[in-house]
Parts: sequence; structure tokens; C-alpha cells
Amino acid sequence: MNRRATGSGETKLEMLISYVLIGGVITSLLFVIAGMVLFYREYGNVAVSHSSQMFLRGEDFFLFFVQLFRESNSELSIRVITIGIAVLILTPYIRALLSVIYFAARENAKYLVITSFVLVLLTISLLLH
Amino acid sequence: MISLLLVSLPVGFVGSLTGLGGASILVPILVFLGLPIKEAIASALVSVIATSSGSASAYVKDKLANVKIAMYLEMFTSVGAIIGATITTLIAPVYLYFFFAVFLMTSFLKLRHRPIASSATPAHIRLSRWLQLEGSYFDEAKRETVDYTAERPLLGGLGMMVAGLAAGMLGIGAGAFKVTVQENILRLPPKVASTTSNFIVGMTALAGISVYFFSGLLNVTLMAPLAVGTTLGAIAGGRVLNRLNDHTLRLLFYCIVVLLIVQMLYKGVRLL
Repeated sequence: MNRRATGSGETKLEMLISYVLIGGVITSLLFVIAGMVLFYREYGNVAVSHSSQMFLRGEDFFLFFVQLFRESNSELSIRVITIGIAVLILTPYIRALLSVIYFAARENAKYLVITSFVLVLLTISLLLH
Repeated sequence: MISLLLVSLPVGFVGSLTGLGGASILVPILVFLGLPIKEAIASALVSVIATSSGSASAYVKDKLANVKIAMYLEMFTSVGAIIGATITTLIAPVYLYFFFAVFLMTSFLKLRHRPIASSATPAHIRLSRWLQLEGSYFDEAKRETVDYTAERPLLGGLGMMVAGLAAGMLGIGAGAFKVTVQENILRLPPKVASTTSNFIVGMTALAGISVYFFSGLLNVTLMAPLAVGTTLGAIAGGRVLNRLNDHTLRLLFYCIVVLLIVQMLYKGVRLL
């Protein structure tokens, strides 16, 4: 027997969220695994390092993400792993963004406010420091 | 990284079996291996996103997790996580061992819990109805449709803010605490509470990670094996969960939580 939908028919949103979450995790892990393989080829080992270039740090996470594809200051393996981790970090953010768009399109003012609150909070926390 | 990958595989597996989540076990193990606690907390939070997003995806598709209730509660957990992570970056590391041990003790709340009959008054659910915090699902075991409405949404929100604070501060999902709040305050059915909690965990972790990113505590060579290992371990754990009986799981849970509490207290006391 089929399960019935929760609440008032948010099936499209649920399906969209489901694909975003699983797509984000799979993409991220593929990058991370590929980066670990490259790391081994570049360094000859896969030991945990505490050198400063191994730590992610920045003033603006979105700019940091874009720069990963532009500059080539760090080793390829580190950049590939970092892209994977950044995709993983951004997966819930994309989910929040899609939820806002969905409730705006459905003209559900209450949930537009609720989801926008979370999105604005996350945007500020990733953007302004 | 390979050794951490091999460590995080069983951690994800056991975390999934016991309901503790990988990060609650991972942080004490990383500390035991000699990693600085703040670095361990920040890096473990990334694996929380990976494990929770993977399983939440299935629960949302199965229509067990209530997306609207999750989005309402995320307002509170996100604020809590940012505050919690900020506290971690500011305080001396020694306090984190004790906070971690105390929070692990709250995991026992979930085991002691027995379903509480609804005592909702119209005032309790008026706001919930206005916020559309209600839903239904088909219970396969009972072979019937279960309708529910969340109760006391403001009190539940405050409880979730505490859960978010602990999650951001300690680098964990705080799933057991979130489920306890949802079952005892919001009075949601257990299946809805646990699946909705899983959905919220990822967003809460992101809020905490944003603070750790600016603090420079996210180590790439640490996060990579942890994310891969705990996710694969959690997938394997989810597959064998139904084959183990409750007694075995409960015993495993008690042993692991007690061991982790002792380990964190021991580390903390040594640093005093």
C-alpha cells in the first residue's frame, strides 16, 4: 500500500529536496575520493597534515568557492578535496534556497517568511565576517 | 587519512545502529588519537552534513519527514548552532570535554522515554494549525494512516534552539536530543520525530560550520576521510539495523555512551 503524503501536498518540494540532498552528497564524495587519490599521487602518502594550506579559511564563503575554480595557488589534490567539501557544505544551503523559491511560487506567505529567515541567516553567516 | 577512513567507517556504522550519529562517537575518538578538540569538532560537523543528507533524502522521499515542521524548527536550531559554534571558538578547550560528556548523558533521555498521551489544549495547537505544523503518514506496522499536529510550537522551538546550540558547540548532530524535544514537547509520532530530526541536522550543521570556516578550524585532510568513512559506514549500518534486536542495540548504545563519557571526562580532568 502506498504511503500518503504529509500535510498539504508538498510532494514536488519533497522530491526536489530529496534529489538535491542525495545529488549534493554523491557529487561531494566523488570529488573528495578523487582528491584523496590525487593527494596520494602527489605526496606519496595520505597522512593528516596540520600545515596552514590544509585549513579552509576566508572572509566570504561564496567568493572562496568561486576562487577554487579560478586560482591555482594550491595543489590540485587539495583543491579537488576542497571543492568536494564546499559542495557538501553548500548542499543544505541550496535546499534552503529552493524552499524559498518554492514557497514564493506557491504564494505561501507564512513559509516564505520562515524559509527566508533561515536563508538570510545562513547567507549572512557565510558572507559577512 | 587512510587510518581515519578506516576508523570512521565503523564509527558511521555504529552511530547509525545506535542512533547516536557518527559525530558523537567521532569527536571523542579523534581527541583520543591526539587531535585538538576544536579541530575535531569543526571537522566532524562536516561529516554530519554528509550522513544526515544521505538518509534525510530517503526519509523525505518516503514522506515520513515533515518538511514544514522541519523548516519551522530550523529557524531555532540555526540560531542556536551559530551561537554554539561561536562559544566554542571563544572558550578554553578544556571546558569542551566536560560539555561533551554532559551532553552525551542527555542521550539517555531518549532511552528512558515512554510515549506521553497528548494533553493539548486548543491554545496549544491553535498556533500550530496557523503555522501548518500538521500532517499524516501511513504506518506500515499498524497498517493505518496516522494524523498528527505539533503541540506547543514556541516551547518546542526553544528546545530545538538548545539542541542547535549543543550541535554547533560540540560538532555533533544532537539527533537524540532533537528527537526527545519533538516527541515530548511537540508530541510528534516517533517515526516523524526521528526522520524530521535527521532532515534538520544538516541545516543546523551548516550554520555551525560557517563560524568554523571563518575561524580557520576546518582541516581538509581531516574532513575528507571522515566524510567518506562515516557516510559509507552509516549506509551499511542502516542496512543491518532491522536485523538486530532491540536488546542488542540498547546494550551497544549503553556501552558506547558510557565509554565515551568516561573518555571525555578523563581527558578534561587531565587538562585541569
